[in-house]
Amino acid sequence: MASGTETQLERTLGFKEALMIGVGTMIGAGIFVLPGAAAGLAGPGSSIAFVAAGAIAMLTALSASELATAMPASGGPYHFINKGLGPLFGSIAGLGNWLGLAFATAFYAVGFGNYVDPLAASLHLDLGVVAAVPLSGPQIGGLAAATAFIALNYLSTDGTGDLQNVIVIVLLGILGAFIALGATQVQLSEVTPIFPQGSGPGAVLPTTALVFVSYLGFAQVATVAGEIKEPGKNLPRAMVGGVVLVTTIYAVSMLILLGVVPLEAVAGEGTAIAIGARAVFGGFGIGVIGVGLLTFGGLLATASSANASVLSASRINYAMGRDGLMDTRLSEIHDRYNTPYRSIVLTGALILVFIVAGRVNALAKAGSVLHLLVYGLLNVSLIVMRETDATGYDPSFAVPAYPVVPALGALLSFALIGFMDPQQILLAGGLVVGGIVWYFVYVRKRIDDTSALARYRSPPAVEVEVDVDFDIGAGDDAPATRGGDTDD
Amino acid sequence: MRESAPTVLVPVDVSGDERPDPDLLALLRPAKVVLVGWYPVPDQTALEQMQAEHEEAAVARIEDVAAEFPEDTDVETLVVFTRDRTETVDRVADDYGAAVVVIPEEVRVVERVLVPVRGDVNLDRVLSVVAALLHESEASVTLFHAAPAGDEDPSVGTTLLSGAADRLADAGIDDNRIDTVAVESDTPIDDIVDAATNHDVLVLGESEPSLVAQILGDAPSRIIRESGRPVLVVRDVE
Repeated sequence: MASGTETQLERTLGFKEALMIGVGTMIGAGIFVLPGAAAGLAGPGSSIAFVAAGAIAMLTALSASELATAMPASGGPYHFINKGLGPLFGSIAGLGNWLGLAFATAFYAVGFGNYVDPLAASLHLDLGVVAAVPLSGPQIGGLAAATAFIALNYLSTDGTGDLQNVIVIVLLGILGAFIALGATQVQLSEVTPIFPQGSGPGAVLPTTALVFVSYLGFAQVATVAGEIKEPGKNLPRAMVGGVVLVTTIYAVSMLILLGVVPLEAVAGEGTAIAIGARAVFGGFGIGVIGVGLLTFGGLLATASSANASVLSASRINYAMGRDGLMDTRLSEIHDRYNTPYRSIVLTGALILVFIVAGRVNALAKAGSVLHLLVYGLLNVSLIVMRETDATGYDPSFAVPAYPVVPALGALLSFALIGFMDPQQILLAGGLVVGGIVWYFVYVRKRIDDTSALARYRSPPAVEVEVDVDFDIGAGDDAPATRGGDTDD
Repeated sequence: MRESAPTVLVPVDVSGDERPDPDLLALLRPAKVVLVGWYPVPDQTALEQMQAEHEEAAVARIEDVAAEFPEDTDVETLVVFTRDRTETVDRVADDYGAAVVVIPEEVRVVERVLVPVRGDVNLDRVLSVVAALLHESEASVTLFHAAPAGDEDPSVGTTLLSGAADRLADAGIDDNRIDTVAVESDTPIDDIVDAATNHDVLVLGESEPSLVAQILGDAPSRIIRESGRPVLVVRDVE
């Protein structure tokens, strides 16, 4: 009887589930948190910024689809970069991906706080006064929400997948109602000129940099590539479809919002969409219901984005540990809850610190800048995989118009970093330095570079058949070592 | 004449100490058994990480369970790390062409088998499974039909039952081991659950859940939940 037992990993995600994961993570920020800030920067022109950010995300989504179907393992973007460009870039990408998710989660949590704050005020609770420390109401709401998500993920939550589907469908319904009712009331005089006084087409790119954080969710689909049925077909469709759907909703909602309320009424507001809802639904005599619906939507959307991001951040810790780039003790699984509790607690602590330290726009840009860095490298990694004819690289989906798509994806991702504030550019620079230092201090002496790039630059001295498996890491606990001199 | 051995899927949660009942296993002796050890993985944890951590223990557990089957049973073992038990059971059942899925529960000894009979389920397949399993045991079987009063001509139920009994007799099950019961009732599911208290194992046909059933829980899942007996679910696929 013994030893005849096969082990399998179940693929439980079809196209719909994969799409929901991407859309559920993305739909939160762009429309429920950022419209006020975006409108303040570029007025109705911010619609163009949403489309531009969506287009850049789309290029990387295509590249990520190819990479994910070739190596469907945990870790997503970090994993692809580590396998293509080696542990030096892997260190930069891993830290960038992880911290980027922590910043983005902090941003979603404060966005959640934005919606809690007026609710609390209406119950005569002034969250800003409750605190002994000088924190704003949204920050306190965000801290409470983030703590709850961290606790939920620590204890493991069964069936969040089904809940995610319901949340996304409810959100699409609420936004659909907003768009449909709003479309009947748009006044063209409100949305012209496209660029209000004091801004011009030049405001589009900085706005694009700000709102890029709204599109981070598509990469979440890549991190679960190993669980998607028929990934060659479903994975690109879910990622690309998600980005198209979300881009459309963002751009149209933005135009409608600014077509129904004066720019001054929403610019810089944290819950701009709820202000818009008062006007849109008010036209039908149900303004209060509209505000209630959109406030409910804002809470749901930011919560689902935050929760999904906490979840993927710990996957990156695990993948880095598996590849020898981080201590595996960090990703150890809890005996009882079966969750990577240490990783969740550490990521959670970072999120809480970021919420206390940062303002909402700064958090959004910090999340964006680190992801842009990672996405740029991801596109480069695809080009390296293709050009070096990497062993075992056999994606079931190929990027269209190679090399234009990945080259443009890399170029635009890196270029958009230039439109961030000096503070965030410094953060990106600091992360690159940090990644390099981490590599030389911790990683280099522990593992051999077996990436596609390293093998191309110095092929194994002895011609032996080396079994390179891109699906799983270099090894389980001990990093794989093999014959041949592969040092640079 | 002997019915060909059905393939029976027995799911076991290998993350805990769950063990299917030995008496239930004895009933399955004529069948080809696919023993699936499923290991639940929360959303927070990567499947391959759970595999790396728990594969050895999971394989050991399922092979322990396999060893408890009577010597001559044809048992194949499999371990699956999954986020969704139902999905895994369905997929594996398809892969192996399993006709029956066992929902285990405590059972003392299998003496009486209850087979609720409805017109709209895959009665042929249900009966062939019952015949194959009872062939090597002494257990008796009750064919049970409950229909809402006035909903159908009473003769429909009795015709259905006598046809089913003939079918089992043809397959070599002794007449005096077969019992038929027809009741008129407005709450057929409650009647099946009641009847289950006098029986040791249920054999149910899977049916396409109607829209209402999807919301309220379809009949088989209510019976499984409320009867407290092991249930063999005969799948509605070729």
